[in-house]
Amino acid sequence: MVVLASTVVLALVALQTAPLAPGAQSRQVDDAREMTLVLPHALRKGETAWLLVKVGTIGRDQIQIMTQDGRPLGTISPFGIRSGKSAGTYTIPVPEEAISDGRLALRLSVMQSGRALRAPTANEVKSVRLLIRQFKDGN
Amino acid sequence: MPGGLALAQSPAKYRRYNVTSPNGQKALASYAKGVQAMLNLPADHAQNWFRNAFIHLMDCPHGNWWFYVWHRGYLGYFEQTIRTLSGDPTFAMPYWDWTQLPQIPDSMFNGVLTPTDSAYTRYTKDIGTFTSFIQPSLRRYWDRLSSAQRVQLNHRGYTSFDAMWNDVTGFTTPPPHINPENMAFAQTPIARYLTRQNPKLSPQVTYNVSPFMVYAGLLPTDFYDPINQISFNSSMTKSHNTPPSGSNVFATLEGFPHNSAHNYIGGVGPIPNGPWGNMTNNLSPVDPIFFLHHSNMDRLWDVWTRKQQALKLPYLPNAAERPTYEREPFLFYVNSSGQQVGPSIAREFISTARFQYDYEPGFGEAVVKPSSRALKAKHVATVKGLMKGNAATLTLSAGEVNTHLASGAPASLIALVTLPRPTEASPQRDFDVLVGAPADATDVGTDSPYYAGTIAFFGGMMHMPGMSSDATYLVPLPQRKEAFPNLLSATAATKGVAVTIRVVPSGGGRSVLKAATVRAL
Repeated sequence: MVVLASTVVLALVALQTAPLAPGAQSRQVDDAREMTLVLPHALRKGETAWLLVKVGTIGRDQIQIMTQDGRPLGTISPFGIRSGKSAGTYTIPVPEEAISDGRLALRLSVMQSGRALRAPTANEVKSVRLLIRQFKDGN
Repeated sequence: MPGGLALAQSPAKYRRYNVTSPNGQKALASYAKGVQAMLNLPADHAQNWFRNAFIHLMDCPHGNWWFYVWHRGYLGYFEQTIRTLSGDPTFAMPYWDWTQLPQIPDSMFNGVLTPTDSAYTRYTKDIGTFTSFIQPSLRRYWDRLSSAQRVQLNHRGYTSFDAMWNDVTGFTTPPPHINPENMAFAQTPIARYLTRQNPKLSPQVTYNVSPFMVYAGLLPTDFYDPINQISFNSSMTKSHNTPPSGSNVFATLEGFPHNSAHNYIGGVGPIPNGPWGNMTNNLSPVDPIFFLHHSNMDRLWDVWTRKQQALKLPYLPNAAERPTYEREPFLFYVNSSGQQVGPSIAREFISTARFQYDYEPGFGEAVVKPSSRALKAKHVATVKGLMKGNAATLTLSAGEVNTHLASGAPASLIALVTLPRPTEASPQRDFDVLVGAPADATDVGTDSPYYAGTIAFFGGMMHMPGMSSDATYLVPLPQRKEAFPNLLSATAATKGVAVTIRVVPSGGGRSVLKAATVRAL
């Protein structure tokens, strides 16, 4: 992470980070990579969970993100990326209903035109992070 | 009004309507006249339809914080051009609210409003036809570019005309071949994937433009926040022409509704391997739907700005970063007279007042409401840890610690911890962050009062060129008194609360921490 700023708006943000829980919580199945992220605490009033998904070089392929029970969370579709470059990191809001017992069970798949879904390689999806943010006087 | 920026006055001189409304349909008729007029202009004319699209190919920002403001300027001048060439002095660009209507509006399949119309065939029948038509004039334009413009193009990787033109044809080396992923040109019949018979966005794209996604995209309260990463805007970069790469963070609205609508309209997803339609790449303004799509993106920026104003929150970068944002040069716009706009900077396009327009309310407007509690910005206190033997010791104020520990309150003390990335051969990928733990504690459970979280690396550990050998993570400090054993000492109120942070391999081991700071939010 690059720290570029010395000031941020205060009293607006409560941030917590829940990296992948320890142990073998990430596994590859036939058409997806499955992982379970553990929230540091249950979402409080006004808090929203977000995924930060860092994507490598995937050209025009897309990354489909769902819960393991089939709820869509978003599809990463890189645009404006020069050929051969990494696609960047994407910020995905997580509906509260997608979280169960303090855990978010994810399925990530590569959508390639005209082909079946498959699991992303470690170079295609480089990391997944879960953040909790509270915008106290926001919406 | 920060910095004396003129905000839009209400009512504005021009109103951008939802394309599905009667006024939107009226505007669309004028739009079609303007598009036809631009198609009729010779290739040497700066307002020629395709020449206008090349402004986008040569100068558009994506994945950075100039995304909205650059497109506001581009759209604003284009709107003035259509106003002039259509003969409709009231024209304002309608918007396509894909949240309310997740399919291409039916009228956008009429005549020149689709790039698959026969009117385009004489220019885009095939790459040879297109090259013969546009390349000579474009090369003459290139040869007249200023040194400042060339600097901008160099940021983009366009060090020569041929380097730019390769993004039109998809020509790639080595070995020499055509890469459809990189081909901005689209033949007339496939210039738009969606048709009048098949106008709907896919279920995946419909989710990306859904109410939940759009509301979430409007939720951030920071124009740009590199620390907490959930901002309204994408990353700060050196130049608006810096191509997106691995370090760019795409904000939600740009990364999801914007990107996926672009790609799906051109056929990314359903069409294997490409080539795809215009909307999938940087000649996307060849498809007239581009400007309705970006009118909606611009509308959402306006909604977010007014939400921030209603909540008395900042709607611009902070004071330290704002000059960088505002002084970014935009050097490729063309005005309604067909003249190159003189050197302009981002600041000129922050306000909708620049082009005297506002929007008919659309989806998302509900977030604009006055605040019951005005919030104030204040400085973030940062404490740097003193390193000794891979452990950091920091002294925090007792007040900050008590605020952090207050029952039911969100964590307000956040640590930034730096540790070395595991090597390819390293079996250890998980590390626990311990706060205030006894010096001999090397392994604690997740229910320990000293446990702050686990940092887990997954994926390949191959170090790429330019990649730092260290990684820094944000970790909230535990909200347990045991983690701050000095809080109850007699000197805590006057000398502060000393706290120690270590990062140990999960399962036990010596600390690998390289640096730590704590921020009080």
